[in-house]
Amino acid sequence: MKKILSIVLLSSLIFGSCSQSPERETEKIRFMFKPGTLKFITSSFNTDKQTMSALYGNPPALSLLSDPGHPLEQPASLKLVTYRMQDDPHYFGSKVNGELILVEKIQSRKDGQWEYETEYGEIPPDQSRKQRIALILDSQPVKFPQ
Amino acid sequence: MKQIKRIKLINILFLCIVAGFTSLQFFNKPIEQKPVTGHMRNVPKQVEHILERSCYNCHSNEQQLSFFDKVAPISWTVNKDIARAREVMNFSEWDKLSDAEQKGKFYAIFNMVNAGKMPLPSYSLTHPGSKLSASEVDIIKQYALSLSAKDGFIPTVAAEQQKETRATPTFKTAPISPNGIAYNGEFRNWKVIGMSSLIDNTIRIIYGNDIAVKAIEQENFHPWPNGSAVAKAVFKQVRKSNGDIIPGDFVNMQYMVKDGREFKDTEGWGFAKFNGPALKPTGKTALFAQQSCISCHRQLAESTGFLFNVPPKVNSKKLIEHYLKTVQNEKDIIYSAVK
Ligand code: HEC
Ligand code: HEC
Repeated sequence: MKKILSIVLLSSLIFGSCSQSPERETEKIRFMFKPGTLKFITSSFNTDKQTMSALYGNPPALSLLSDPGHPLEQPASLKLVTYRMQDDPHYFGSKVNGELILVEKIQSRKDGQWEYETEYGEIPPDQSRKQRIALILDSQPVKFPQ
Repeated sequence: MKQIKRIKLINILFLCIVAGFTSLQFFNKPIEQKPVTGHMRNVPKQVEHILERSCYNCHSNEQQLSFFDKVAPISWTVNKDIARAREVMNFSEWDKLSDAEQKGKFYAIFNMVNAGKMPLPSYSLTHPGSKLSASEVDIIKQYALSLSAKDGFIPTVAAEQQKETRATPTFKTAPISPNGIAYNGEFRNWKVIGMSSLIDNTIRIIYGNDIAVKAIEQENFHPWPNGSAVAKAVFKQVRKSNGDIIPGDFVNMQYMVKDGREFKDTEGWGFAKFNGPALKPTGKTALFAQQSCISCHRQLAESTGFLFNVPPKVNSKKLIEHYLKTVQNEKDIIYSAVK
């Protein structure tokens, strides 16, 4: 009797956990990037790579990108957030940012070099950190009227 | 004796119904007759036939209504639908739209028929012949795609920089939309909730205020809480040498502001649009939102409370949670190092 009970208990434990975990593994959620103290600088997309990106930075980074000759008095910090581009689920003809694939962070050092780090995902195999830094620095803030 | 009485009663009842029904017809105002100013041009015959058969009874000045549709009280609903349909789109006055508007409308047409929203389900129920088959929906789709195939040209950054004519106007007071919503530069401090790019060669950035961001996090869109505000900045596309497409000239700024009591006719959302560097408001009267904004949002984005740019559910909960935890840990480490 005890044996049967323990088997029942054990199997229910196994099945219980099995039927739960795949759900947890595959559960999909909405995601909005929280930049903390950084501000949105600009966006871009690439139809060949099917990606969409948003660039965020602190005030020194914003000044630097607005005017590359601008001397860096404070450390500049930037984050490039890249998503897969996908069809708008409600509207054919519109593309939106879908799954998050990469978050890259660069920070200026006193010696004028940049530190590079990925916070999420991996950089494309055909690109170096140097190329990624150059790409991030080759951005211009969006210009609004007023 | 009883029998005769009953027959009499039935007769009286019948007469009453007929009289009532006939008198209803005196309250039957025919739909307003308006002239045809210009149809769609250079459209494939197939497309034209589909639109004429399924849509013209509402979206045109050339109705071919059955006797059934003209009898009150049915005619009341039909006439109301026609008035509303013509207010948002009229195939007999297609020439009044600019080329860009015509293309945009055609994408809306495809999206409406693809989602099964047009012809209105209440209409196709009583007019089964108006329904579109799958192959007819595809004919509409192919034509929509062919419209944008012609303008694949996107200027490069260099050409754009040489122009450098970005006007920076100054205004003393913020421009105001006819429904009272003012241009609000605050959006730059809001969170970016999404990015999008449309076939019309524009690139868009969508911002949400704190109330809207919280509503998204809590999946609380039915209805969105009052005070939610979303701003969409639209730019022309410019191509960089590495193939990336980035925002170029500013096109317009659009807002949706939630106030369930104020904006009753537009699902509680107040719409506003400010065009060009001068931020000229769209609309002559407050009716513009009913006439040119709400239809699309109401019919196609109902599942997310009439707002399109809610981030899609495509991210793995497990991966995102792990990521947020590592970022948080990092912050904690930095923080304790500073201390
Ligand atoms: C029974 C009348 C009726 C018929 C038939 C009908 N529509 Fe509509 N249509 C409407 C009404 C009413 C609206 C406004 C809906 C709203 O505001 O939610 C509308 C709105 C639209 C809009 C939105 C326009 C805009 O820019 O805001 C499009 C596009 C549209 N209809 C396309 C079609 C097409 C295509 C067909 C034929 C396949 C069709 N309709 C048939 C009544 C009709
Ligand atoms: C033809 C259909 C259509 C009409 C008409 C329309 N919209 Fe939209 N709207 C969309 C679609 C599709 C999106 C999402 C894609 C994008 O970002 O542009 C959108 C997005 C928006 C957004 C960003 C929030 C959201 O819902 O995603 C605002 C704000 C907005 N529209 C305002 C307006 C205003 C103001 C008008 C009227 C002047 C208007 N819309 C008319 C289809 C339409």
